[in-house]
Amino acid sequence: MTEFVEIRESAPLTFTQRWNTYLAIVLAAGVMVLGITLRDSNLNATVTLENLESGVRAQVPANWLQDTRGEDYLFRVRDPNAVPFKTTLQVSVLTVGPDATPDLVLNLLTMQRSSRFATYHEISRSDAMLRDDPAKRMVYAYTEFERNPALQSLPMVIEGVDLVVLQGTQAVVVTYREEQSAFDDHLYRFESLLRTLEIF
Amino acid sequence: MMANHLFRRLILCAGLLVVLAGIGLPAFAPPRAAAQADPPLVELNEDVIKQATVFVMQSFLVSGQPMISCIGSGTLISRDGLILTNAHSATPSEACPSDVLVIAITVRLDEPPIPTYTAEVVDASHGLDLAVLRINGYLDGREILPGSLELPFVELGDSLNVGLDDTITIVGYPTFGNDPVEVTRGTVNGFTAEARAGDRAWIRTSAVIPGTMSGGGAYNRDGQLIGIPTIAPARAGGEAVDCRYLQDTNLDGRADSGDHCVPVGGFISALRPSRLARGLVRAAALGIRQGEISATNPAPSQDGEPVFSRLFFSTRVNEVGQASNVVGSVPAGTTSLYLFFDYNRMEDGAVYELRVSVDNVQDPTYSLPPVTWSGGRRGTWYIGTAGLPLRNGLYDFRLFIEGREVASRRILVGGGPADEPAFTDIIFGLLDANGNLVGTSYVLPEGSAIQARFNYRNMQPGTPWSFVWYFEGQELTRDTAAWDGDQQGTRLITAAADFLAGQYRLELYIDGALSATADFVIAGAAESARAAVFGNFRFATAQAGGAPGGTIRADFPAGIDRLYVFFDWRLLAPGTMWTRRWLVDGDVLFEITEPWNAPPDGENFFASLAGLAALPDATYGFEISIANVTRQSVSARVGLGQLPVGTFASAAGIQMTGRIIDAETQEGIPGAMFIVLNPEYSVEDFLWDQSQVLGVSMADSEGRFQIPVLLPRGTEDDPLLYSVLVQAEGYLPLSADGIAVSEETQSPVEINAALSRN
Repeated sequence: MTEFVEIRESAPLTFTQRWNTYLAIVLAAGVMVLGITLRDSNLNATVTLENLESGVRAQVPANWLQDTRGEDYLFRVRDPNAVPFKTTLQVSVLTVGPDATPDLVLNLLTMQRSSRFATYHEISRSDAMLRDDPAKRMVYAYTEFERNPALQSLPMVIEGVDLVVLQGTQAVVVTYREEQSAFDDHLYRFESLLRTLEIF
Repeated sequence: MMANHLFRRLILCAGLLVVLAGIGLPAFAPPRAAAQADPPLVELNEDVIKQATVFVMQSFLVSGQPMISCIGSGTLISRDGLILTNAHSATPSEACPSDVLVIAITVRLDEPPIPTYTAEVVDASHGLDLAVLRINGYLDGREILPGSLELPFVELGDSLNVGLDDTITIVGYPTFGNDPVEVTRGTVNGFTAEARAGDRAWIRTSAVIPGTMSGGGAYNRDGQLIGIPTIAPARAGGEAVDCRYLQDTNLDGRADSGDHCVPVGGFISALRPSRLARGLVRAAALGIRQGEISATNPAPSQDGEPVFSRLFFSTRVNEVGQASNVVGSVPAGTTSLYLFFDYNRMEDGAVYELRVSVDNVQDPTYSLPPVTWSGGRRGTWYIGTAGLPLRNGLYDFRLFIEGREVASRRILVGGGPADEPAFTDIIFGLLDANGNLVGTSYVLPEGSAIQARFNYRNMQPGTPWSFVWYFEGQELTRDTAAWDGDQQGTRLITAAADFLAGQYRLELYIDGALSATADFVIAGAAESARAAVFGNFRFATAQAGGAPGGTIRADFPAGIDRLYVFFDWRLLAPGTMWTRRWLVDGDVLFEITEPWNAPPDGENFFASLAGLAALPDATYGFEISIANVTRQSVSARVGLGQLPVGTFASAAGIQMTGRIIDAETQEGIPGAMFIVLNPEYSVEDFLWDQSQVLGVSMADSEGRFQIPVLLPRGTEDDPLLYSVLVQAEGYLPLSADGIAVSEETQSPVEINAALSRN
């Protein structure tokens, strides 16, 4: 009985093969970086929304659903991809008297929302600044549920934050709402909105 | 080598798939719509109708515990939560104490309704037993923002187009809310005529409808609401009613006969035509209600039992609702027969009933089950059958009030056309200088002579005949003579007297038997042989001390919230029945018939409309009738003078539903967003602007979605093309253009989207 044993030795790469390999790796890495950059720029792309009548302008995420026809806000954008709650940013303007304070505006918002949102309650209230203007910041939570009674959805706990700043007889309210577990993760969207908010 | 090729092909295919997914080509399951041979343009959609049917509960609190007092069904007639139902099951009464009106809705078609909302009564007619409710909050007390509700609803159809033997579908809740919404089918087997509502005051059906379905809906084949199943309300102190003891309302630890009993009634066979609800519905949709009216002195109420008297039959009703003839028998083949009678001490909402037996066998076809009275306190009424052949036999008509028989009358149907002498078609007027009868009407001015013209046939010379004139129920004059005219023709008789304002009647007899009768009203002064009763009409936006205030004109700017009409009147006797109507763009919103309770002469009588917010732009009409004869019609414009286009939401459209699933696991993706664009936009045009969006729905815990607005239809030749997008975090988005919706598209269109992870 004869047994054949095949023994192979790896031949060393030629110069061309070695550099082709390096080039392929570099190219792949470059494409990956380009892809990530493109993705990030796309995800972080913004568009400008403004309301000349109220004198408010801000940068909001692009490719979010923009609504400028609401009765109680100047504009509102919602992330269509977010699940289960559509991350919401909105800017509203309330007409107030000369003696109004940000706290008064927050009180009005709380009274209004208590009758509209299930289990609405205020969590905290703190002083803040919007650029050089004094502002008031309020964090709150409520339960959101599907309005269409034909659909079965579990209620969601929504956390929200309002920042109120007074400009003459206008109170500008900037709002961010997110499902409670993702609230902190997407808070930077709110901060970005505040950074780009112009009241003129 | 082969393996290498295979690998390359796999890579190529995978790349192509990625590219396809990346550019967003549609990967939808095709819309599913049942194929059917020659479908009607829009077919009855049972699912939508079931979802639009609600369960209405009145509840009252005992020591803080909610107790149910009355129940019924109702139908959503607008997206924002207007509900049409019976007045008796939605308005508080002795039998139905109520603190809260609870609306339970159909969430799953095969499950009982779920209490979800509270509602308020916008307007109700106890006579017609119809009410319009508006959902005004959630059960936990939260308010509902205007326009935020997007509920399934149905449209009112034209109940006058319903014919004998038409198939109808009745939808409602069969029990106390323990069972799912139920659908019953039947045919139209007759119509019942009533004064003021005409030949089709009631639609009769062969369907067996439980009493709890009262207030629900009856639908034609197009899925439009054509009737409201209606059963008489329960009476707390009246006849024993079928009811159930459900709760321990007296808190004695037992639910027994000492507790409140929830009435369920028996079975329903009568439907109130939807046209009688149209005014209520339009007023509620427009946010208009009746405003204040001049203070008057209501007639003192007369104590005692209600009375029906002077019963007679007629086969024809004239244009003002009076009997054209009086018959003692009718030939075979007769299709219309009306029982006329006078009534007194009645009350709107009282329960009355007509039982008809033929040859001593009760026949439900010609009977009217217990229903609510809508004729007011006193007057002349009729009830009968129209458009339905009467079979030969001896008919007994028996009238009941609150379960007690109060009057009856018998008539023979059969044989050939009678050649007996008869008088018909009385009308009244004045003679001009040339001896011609002018100003013929049933409302005449004050004067000293009144002419009555009537037709006669088969009269023989010498036949004794007589006439009797009455004023306010008292005999004025009577005369008997032998007939001295032709066999047939027209004759005038004259009554000379000082005709004061009030209500009159003429009766004509042949050989002692009543052959014709008619009522007329004397009111106003003569102006060109006509009665001038009302005048000096003015519209205003306010009243101050009973006089016009604010802006006085007939053309108002948009935004006013009240509209008053003022008028003067003369020679109108207290107690005369008069009708006032408010119209918007020619459609009647409110119609009220009641006795005149002001002095005979006066100025600045006013009635008004009020808007919940501002009165919508439209042309507002105001009409006054006496004895069903329209005396005056005036109008005023507000804003543009016509209602905005699309004021009344249409339920004609298709529903888009479906499921969004993970392509790999086939499980639903909760929270995924389904967007339908307005038909003028394609996916490529979409700029993520809400104004381009027709409807959005978030998938529920099972991945199901339902676009909350109905998609308008195009035509067969030019269908509307819709574009849709589906988005969810962690998944590649999907989109598709060109989903066609035409008049033949079956609703709902179901779209299933499978998303791939990115």
